[in-house]
Amino acid sequence: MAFCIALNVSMGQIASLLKIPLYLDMVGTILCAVLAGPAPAMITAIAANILAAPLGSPSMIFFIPVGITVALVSSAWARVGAFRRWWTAIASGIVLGVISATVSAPIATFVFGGVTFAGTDLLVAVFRGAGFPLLQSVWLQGLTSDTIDKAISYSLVSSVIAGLPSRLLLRFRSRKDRPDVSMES
Amino acid sequence: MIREPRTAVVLIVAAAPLMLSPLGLAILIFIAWQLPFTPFFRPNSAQRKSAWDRFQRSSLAFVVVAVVINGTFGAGERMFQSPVGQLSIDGLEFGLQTSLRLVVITTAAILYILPLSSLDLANRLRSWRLPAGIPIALLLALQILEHLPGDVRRIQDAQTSRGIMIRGAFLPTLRGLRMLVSPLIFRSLSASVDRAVGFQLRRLYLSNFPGTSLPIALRPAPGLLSLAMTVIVWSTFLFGILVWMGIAPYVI
Repeated sequence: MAFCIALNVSMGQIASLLKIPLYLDMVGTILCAVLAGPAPAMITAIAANILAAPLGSPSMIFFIPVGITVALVSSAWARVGAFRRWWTAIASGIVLGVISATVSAPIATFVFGGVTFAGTDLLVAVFRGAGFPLLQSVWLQGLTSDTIDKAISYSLVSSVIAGLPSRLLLRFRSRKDRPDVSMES
Repeated sequence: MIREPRTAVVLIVAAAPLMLSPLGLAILIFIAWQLPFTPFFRPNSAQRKSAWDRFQRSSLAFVVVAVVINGTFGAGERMFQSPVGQLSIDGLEFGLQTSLRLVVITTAAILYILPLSSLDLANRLRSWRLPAGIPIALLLALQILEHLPGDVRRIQDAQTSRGIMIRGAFLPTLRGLRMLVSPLIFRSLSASVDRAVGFQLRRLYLSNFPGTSLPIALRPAPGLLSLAMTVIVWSTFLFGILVWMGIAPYVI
């Protein structure tokens, strides 16, 4: 769980280091949800969003409900085996993207007025310029960027789990009430 | 009295737009009242100091970018012909208002969080009767965070020496990300176990494992001053949100 918190906070920095135009800031939460279940994943999301504030992403503290949603939905997807194949991981990531865009849009709109210290603020301005109201503009921006981001995050977690040795995965699978993380060969 | 002048400057700059309304002036006085406490708003580690400096630098750039973007793409009836093209006055105002709102909210949040030491945070969480694993996970995460950038660089160099290019075009980089994250997970998991043993040895994690009887040296809490700071910062923060959500009156 500690590593997943650190991974959440630092994944954005890794993405910018590799010059990838994505957030990837929920990879730790998704990984924790798949390996350890919903409760540790929710704690991971809350802790990571709080820790991100003094480490350069101050607005993250207000997006804790989004992190909790990602933890719950990812855990549910893991239970039905969505991470066992890359294409189901991508499809479920797109669904999560729509859900998280819907949850984050009111926060971004009513707390921040649609401006959140991210490069995607440009998209909000473009949608507003096209005549959409602010809430809809923020939601459309989330729909555009979150679906891609979450689909890639899910495929990344799926491929990381596929690469983990079974010795390590058994540590998680041996416990009751944990999601199915077995991979198809 | 103010030994941290940059903190004061940021507070005043961030609160300056509030002066445009009578209520804003009241808020400014309210914020200014906490300036004598700014010596206590000191980041307590080099990493947090660097985060604070980064935030200060990025805030101004962020406000400028938000104003320009909204002025260029924003819709509205009032338009202004600038040398670089037509700008929307409504867009400019919207960009200024929202970006300054974010700067003020985040400044309040950051000022509250930065001076907290991780050990104080962990002990406070434990005093709330939260499971012992939560504070320990937070402390571990902070330690891992400190070492993670170095680990990433080492793994990247190692993979490059094996012929796996992690940097480059978008799709190969995405594929290479797995080669970076998987070893990072292994490395961090083993490091977490070592560090957790270290915490147990300091009796930070009360579990069935044997610990030592060595007491932990805790910093004394500032008591009344800490309470006053907490009340001031959080009431400013919450009042600001109420103003900007339109629940409290605000005129610009």
